Amino acid sequence: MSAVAARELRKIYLQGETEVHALRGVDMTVEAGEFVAIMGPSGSGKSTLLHLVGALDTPTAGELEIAGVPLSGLGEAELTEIRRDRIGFVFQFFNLLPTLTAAENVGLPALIAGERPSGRARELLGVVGLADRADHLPSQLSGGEQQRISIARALLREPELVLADEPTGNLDSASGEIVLDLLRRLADDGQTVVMVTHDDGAAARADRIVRLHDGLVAS
Amino acid sequence: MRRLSSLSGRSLRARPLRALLTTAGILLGVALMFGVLLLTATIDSTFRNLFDSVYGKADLVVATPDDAGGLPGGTLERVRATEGVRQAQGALFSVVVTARGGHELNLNAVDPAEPDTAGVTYVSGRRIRSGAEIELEEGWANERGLGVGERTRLATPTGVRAFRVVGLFRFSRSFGFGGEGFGTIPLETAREVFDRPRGVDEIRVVVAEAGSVAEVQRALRRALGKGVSVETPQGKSEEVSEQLQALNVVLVFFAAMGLFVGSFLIFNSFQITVLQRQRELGMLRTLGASRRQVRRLILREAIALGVLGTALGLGAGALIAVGLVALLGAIGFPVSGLAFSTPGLVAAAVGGIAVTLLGALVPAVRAGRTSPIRALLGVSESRRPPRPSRALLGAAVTALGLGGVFWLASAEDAGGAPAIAGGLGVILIFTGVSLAAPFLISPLVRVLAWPARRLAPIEGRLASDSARANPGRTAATASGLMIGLALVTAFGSLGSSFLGTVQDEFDTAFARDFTIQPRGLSPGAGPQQTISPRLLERVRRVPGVEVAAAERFLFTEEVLDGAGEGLLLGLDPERYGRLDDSAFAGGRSEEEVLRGLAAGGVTVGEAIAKEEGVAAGDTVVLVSPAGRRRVEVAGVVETSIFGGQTVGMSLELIEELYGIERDSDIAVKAASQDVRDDVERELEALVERDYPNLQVLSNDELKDEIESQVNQQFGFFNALLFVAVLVSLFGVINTLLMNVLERTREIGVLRALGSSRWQVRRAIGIEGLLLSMTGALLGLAVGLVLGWVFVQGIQTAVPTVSYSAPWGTIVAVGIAGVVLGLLASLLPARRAARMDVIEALQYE
Repeated sequence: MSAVAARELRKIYLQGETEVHALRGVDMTVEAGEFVAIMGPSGSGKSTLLHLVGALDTPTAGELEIAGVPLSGLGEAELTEIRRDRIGFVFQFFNLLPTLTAAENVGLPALIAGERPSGRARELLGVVGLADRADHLPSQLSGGEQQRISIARALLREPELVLADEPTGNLDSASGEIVLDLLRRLADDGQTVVMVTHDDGAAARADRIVRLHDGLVAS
Repeated sequence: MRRLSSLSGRSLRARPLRALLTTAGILLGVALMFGVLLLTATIDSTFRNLFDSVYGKADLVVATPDDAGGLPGGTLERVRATEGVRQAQGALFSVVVTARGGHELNLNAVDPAEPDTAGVTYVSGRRIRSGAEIELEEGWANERGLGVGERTRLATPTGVRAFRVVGLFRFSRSFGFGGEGFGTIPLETAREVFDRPRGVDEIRVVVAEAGSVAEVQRALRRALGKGVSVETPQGKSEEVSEQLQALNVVLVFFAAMGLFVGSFLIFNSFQITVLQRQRELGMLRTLGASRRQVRRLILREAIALGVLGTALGLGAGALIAVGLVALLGAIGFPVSGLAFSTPGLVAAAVGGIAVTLLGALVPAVRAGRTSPIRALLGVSESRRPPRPSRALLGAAVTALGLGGVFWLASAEDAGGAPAIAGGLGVILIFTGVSLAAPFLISPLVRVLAWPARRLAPIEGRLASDSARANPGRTAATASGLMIGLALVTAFGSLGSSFLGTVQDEFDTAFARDFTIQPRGLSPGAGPQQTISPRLLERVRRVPGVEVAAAERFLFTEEVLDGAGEGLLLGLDPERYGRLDDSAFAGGRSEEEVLRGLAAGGVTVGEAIAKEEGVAAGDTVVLVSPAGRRRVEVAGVVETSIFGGQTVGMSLELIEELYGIERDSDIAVKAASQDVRDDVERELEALVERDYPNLQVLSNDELKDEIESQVNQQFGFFNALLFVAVLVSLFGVINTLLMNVLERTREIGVLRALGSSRWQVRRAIGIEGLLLSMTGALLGLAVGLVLGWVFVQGIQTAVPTVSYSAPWGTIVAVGIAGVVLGLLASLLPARRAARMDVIEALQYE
């Protein structure tokens, strides 16, 4: 079973009165345990692809399976469930809740899923090397540290797929390296990671690069 | 953090100022509601305690239905002859005032030889026996420094009389009467002092056997006929409670307006945070939070604020109630100490939380719909302009509301369905206008900003752009302010129209020069002071007086058979023509009409004539303690006094039927303009010497007197509305703070480009002014239309009523708009000016 299987994926949306063909038939497969980087210039459709793969949006045409679950025809509630149970998100702007401590931010997905908080949040902080920062607020942490916390958060519920959207886009290069090392290590331990980036150095750390151009896979 | 729900609390704590402002809004709304409900409970308990005290030992009370005027001759004998009656104590009653200070005293007169029915206990001294002796309620006497053995001078219907205090008593149920005084004198003395040689006003009955009260009550009712009321003390207090229902409804409605404004504040406050927290909410959605979870997160925040605001509001409500009780006392409606009301507490608490939830509902649903993609984007969703269909809906809802208000205003009976339609109508009008408001904001702000942009081009421009950038937000803020100010304006319109109409009527109908009447005379507001007809004789002997005649008023629950409450007035048909130039429908001459009155006919006000479908020449039925009487309608008066709900008759007839033997006022005409001043001096000297409780008023002074009475009553309701305006002030502050926060980067750029702190402050100040002036203008417009429609509605019932614009109120509301705007901008302007430039520039 592939982590992501997309066939003939198309997405058309309206921008004002004009139809924008963001994806024109993308075929892409990501196997379980793979670390794939998606690259492409602005307007190539990489954000749209990320939205679809992240179950944030539904395709206009084509088929898409996440961890063996076909997405076509799913409603808002089912998409929400897929995001909750099968996907972990890492954002460019970290998106930590400023009022929660590092450990609480990591534990948030469990609360959303209605689970009791466990020791796992602190455990994961150890994994990302921030065990000593558990009780700090995001405002007391550096950008790199915040991003590592957001990775820990993405891992909390052991998702089939971690989606990272420009995870180093807002970091200096040293912090960026630490984050990339972390993602690499996760992939080595068997975690599937799909990362959108336009940084060649970052992409080079992936197992494979998928390049998008004008809504199609270029290579 | 153990549960997702605790996120709500964190989020509130992260924005303490916003939480505080929102809470303050709820707090004030709940406080006003609870305060008013406590007040109504207090009014209720005052009367209950009052009747329980005054009739402590009596089982039944026989009186006239309106508690004014005497019982028909022979009533006491008939009561005594009724089976099952052990004791029947006849009493006379009059409101008098102290000669010095003019403090009101409810003076009772009973035969000291009979056992007391009030069940009082004497704290000092003894019971009255005879002559000019008086016993006083302890609390009132102590406040005036009156002890046993001392003399007190009272202004009675026959002039100033001195009494010796022989005893101080305490009612069986001791409570504060809000300064109301009670005293008793011997019946024989009262016959002379009150000028009531025969008859009694009230009979207190003690039944022979306990448990036979209902039986005796039925027997008495059969024996005395329908015109006389036979009630238990409890029944009497229930009657009063029923009569106060209308007042209670109005009070609660006004209080509800405070809560209504509070819901606007909550709506706006949550709308803004939901917008500002899009990324955060989107992130929760990407983590798999369902729409419902996000919705509940917001609602939970609202509930937390609602519960806090409500709890604090209940405390503040008790304080407000104390203030309202004092305020009522100041306008001559004394009530006792505060009574507690559990239903009031529950209603206010439920109201507070319900309103909070209602206000947060739309923002919460909107938060639930936040697209998870927002988490990936750095920018907020662009705001969609409101759909034009909303303006249409708003207009339709407003029109519907105006219809409801018109119905209420034109209704014969202001209770039931028309009252509900009217109340709902007002709410619909406000809802409709706030729906349509976003479309009015841009042009309004542009016009209002024009002077500011002339004086301070940059700041004026920035303020105007900021207010217009978000028409929905500006509209919701201004709408909150609109509600309070619109009600003030509409109410002012009613007051000015009512006053203007009455004053016009005085101008055209008054041929008299002076009116002699008790200070604070206000028929319809409980027992009034009266004047012995002996004064009239003395007035007629004053040199230069061409004609003087008495008028007698009785405010009654049933002005004609089947009609509602209104004013009965007795007048002198022989002399009235020279004192008055009233106009009559159908061109009947006044002489003709007065001949009809002399022959035992009545005049009816135009409003009643219309409601009852009667015209001159028809017969109508008067319902009185002396029985029912068919009388001919001599004429239909074009009048708006008492809403045209008046029935006029001769002095003889009102005395015969209703037992009104004393005068309410005396109208005087001088022989010529040359002697007018001399007559005035003479009358004033006469009154000052012997009747310090009376005043001599020229027609202009009488108009002023009525104006100040009206203003007092309206002032009380304006005080309630003030709280609603205060709630909306917090809304303006909140919106300004949010706008400042959202424009942090812009303010940073301005400062970087060399704007001084003062310029930044000025920009925020102007923005505050634009918001509040928009609210004031909307309020004025809506209030004037509302008032006008209401007056048009009244006109269908009372044709003589005409609309007068409330200029004083208009100016006051305009000034309020400016002051509120400046006040609201103080804190936000300070925040904006103190911003760190570098941080502001980096703000995203």
